[in-house]
Amino acid sequence: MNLVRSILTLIPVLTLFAATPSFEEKKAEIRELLARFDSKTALDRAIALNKQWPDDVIGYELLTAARLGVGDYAEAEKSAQWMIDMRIGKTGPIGWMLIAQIREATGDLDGAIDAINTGYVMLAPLQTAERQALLTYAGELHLRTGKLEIAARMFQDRLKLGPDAASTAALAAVRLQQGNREEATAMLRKLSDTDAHPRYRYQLAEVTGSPDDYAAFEKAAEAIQSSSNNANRELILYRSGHGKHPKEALSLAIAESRIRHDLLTQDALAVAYQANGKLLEARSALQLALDVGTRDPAILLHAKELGLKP
Amino acid sequence: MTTPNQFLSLSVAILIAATPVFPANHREAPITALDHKADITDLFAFRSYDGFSIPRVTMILCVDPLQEPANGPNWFPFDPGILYEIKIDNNNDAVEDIVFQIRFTTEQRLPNLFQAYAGAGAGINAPGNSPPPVAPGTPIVPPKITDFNSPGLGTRQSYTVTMIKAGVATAISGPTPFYAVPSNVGPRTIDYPALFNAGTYTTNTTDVKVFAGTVDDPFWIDLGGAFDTLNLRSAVNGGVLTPAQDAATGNIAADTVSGYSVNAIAIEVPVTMLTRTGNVEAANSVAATIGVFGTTSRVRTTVRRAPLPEAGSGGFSQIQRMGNPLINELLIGTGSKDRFSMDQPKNDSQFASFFLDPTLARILNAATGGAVAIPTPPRNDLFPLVTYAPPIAAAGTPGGPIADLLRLNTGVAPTLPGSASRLGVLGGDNAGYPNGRRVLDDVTDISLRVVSGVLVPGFNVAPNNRLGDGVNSNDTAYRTTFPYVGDAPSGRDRRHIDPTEAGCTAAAGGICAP
Repeated sequence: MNLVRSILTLIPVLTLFAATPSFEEKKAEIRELLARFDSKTALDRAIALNKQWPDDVIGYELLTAARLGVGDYAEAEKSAQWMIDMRIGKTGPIGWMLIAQIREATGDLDGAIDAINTGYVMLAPLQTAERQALLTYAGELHLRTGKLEIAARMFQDRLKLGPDAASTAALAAVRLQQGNREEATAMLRKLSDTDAHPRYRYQLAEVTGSPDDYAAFEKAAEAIQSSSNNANRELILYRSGHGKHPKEALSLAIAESRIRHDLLTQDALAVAYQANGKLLEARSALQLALDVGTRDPAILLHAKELGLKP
Repeated sequence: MTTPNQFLSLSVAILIAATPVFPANHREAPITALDHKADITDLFAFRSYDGFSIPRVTMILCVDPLQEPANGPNWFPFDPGILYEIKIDNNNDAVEDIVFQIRFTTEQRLPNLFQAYAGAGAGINAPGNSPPPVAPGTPIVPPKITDFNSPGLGTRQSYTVTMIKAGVATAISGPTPFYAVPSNVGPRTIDYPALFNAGTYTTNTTDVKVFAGTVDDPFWIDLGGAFDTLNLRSAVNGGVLTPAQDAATGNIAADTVSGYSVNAIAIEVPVTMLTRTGNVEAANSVAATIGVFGTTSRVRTTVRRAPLPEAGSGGFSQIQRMGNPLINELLIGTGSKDRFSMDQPKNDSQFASFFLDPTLARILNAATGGAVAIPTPPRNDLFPLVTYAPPIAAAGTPGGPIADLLRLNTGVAPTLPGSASRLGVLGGDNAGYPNGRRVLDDVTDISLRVVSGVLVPGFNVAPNNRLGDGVNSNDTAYRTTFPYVGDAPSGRDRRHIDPTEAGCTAAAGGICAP
């Protein structure tokens, strides 16, 4: 008797394995959920996938991205660490970008830039999408550390690879900080005219202070309010301030915070509480963001206004 | 300021753009296939059987598999970037209580020579017609390497051994530095046995010996047949030995790893150093059984950067671990092998389904059309491999969590080599696997039989209890004293025994005739 008289005898066993749902299909589903910013569902699916295939680095990337999406930084850090540990030297540009996001969230901007640099040198010549994203993110990090010239160069390099609203808006922010309000306004105006995301209309309105620009922003933001890719954070900030509808702002902020707990959502919630005179709640909401370790200047400014020490 | 969605969208866009639906590059080989130096090939732990009166345990960690002995010019030094560790749990919680850390340092003593080792006789000088600027009589080839100070030992590795017990680190040192035994380059270059003996150190710690070096791969197996979906040889009836074949001391099939070397780290310590009571416990004592596992680790790149104080900064990342033989190879699914390698034994309940309903058993059952009947899961009969349970641990020993540890009842006296059974406990030799593991234990045959259910009443019958690959012993003789492993094959004269070679049938001593 031969233990394996014929490979045919293995067919029943092999068939069992072949019947296993495709992992790649599951990953594609998670990516789609992330693309729709449905991080909560994506996270549930990513956790299930990770249990089924714990060795898969991409699974840890998806898990990390979903956890960042819902603002669970502690767990995001754990899955990102597994991502690094799983394949020494094999964490690719995507993974390093996620690591950069965690480092940024925890206040290590230099570390975030290091991570982006690590990811960037790994790029293959034709990884254009990754190159674009890394340039944009690197520019944003340099912008936040005050290195305006470097940031501008990053955004310009990015825009040479194709149009991009985020990079254009970020370059406008650089120009504004460089004192070139006119060029910044023109860039944002042109961007808004292209029917870009309402967040850029808000940025334009913040630069111009024009009621018309705020009105255009509000109308556009309200149109996508129920979308997962919304501009609700900007809407909350607007209604808490210039819009003068603090109750609506708070209602929206509380709804958003039920979906995710990332730094900026917590910050918006704190702003809305503050606008409604609920300072204790505002401090509590913002403290959660501060506890992560963020050095985001806008959040730190709000913390200062609320008498919180980072 | 970037919005939450914008913040996330950068990575999301990349996740989508970067990954086609059916990419070819995501099913990479398990991590140790990418990091051979950190690949643990075997772990042994057994009561020393050299006849010395004080009970001691020898633990051997082998790494860096299938070294071709002729593979110069650098051969196979240990990796100074790896932290090698042997860990012992002595209180049944699957967490190490004693750790032996081994770290290597490499010294290049002949940086201008084109190979790591060189030597011949008393040395070779430049001949009379040597062109300038090298004058005739100038030493060119150093003398044969006979000790660790020989000038021809271009690459010399020293190592340190540190014991960590109850959080206290203690150096285990000797009167001289510890040097690793290099590859057996060939008889002209090196007196390998002399270096082997010189590299077997008695330390300043009472009854503790250490060894590190390149040695014969102590494992034996028909690797090709096993991994060709258990396509074992027709000479052994496809994997069911006859009684005579089962009793043979020689090999019926070729040892695929014959003629290859590995790097081994061995340490021998008194039993009293390992048990939680500090005593030599009787075999029926609940304190007698320890759990051993080996690990390799590399300096970790962390999400948070050192020296930031948050958790996760700094330290080492475990690359691989090993307790029982063949667990990761034959039981753990490919999609979980790396996670298994890098996780801690105390977390092994996540892999319980692999242990308690082994796919290997189902393949044995399916591939034989049911001739190898297997027990119904859950396979509680496999608990002694993954918990502290009889017959290894004494009755009443806390089982602890499911954990892949090589469990050794230190109270069981060793069996002298002449009386030992390659089948360990299955062969009536309670000093062998799975009560610890000796170099002479045939863990392939034992594992096949145990997985097929021979520990379950009604299943200890043929063909289950005669499963085997036909490789019953090693191609090289083992030492019968510490460090117990055999000499590394000579790079010049090594021989890999091929499946079809004549003379591979039950030759005396298990060594196929040349």
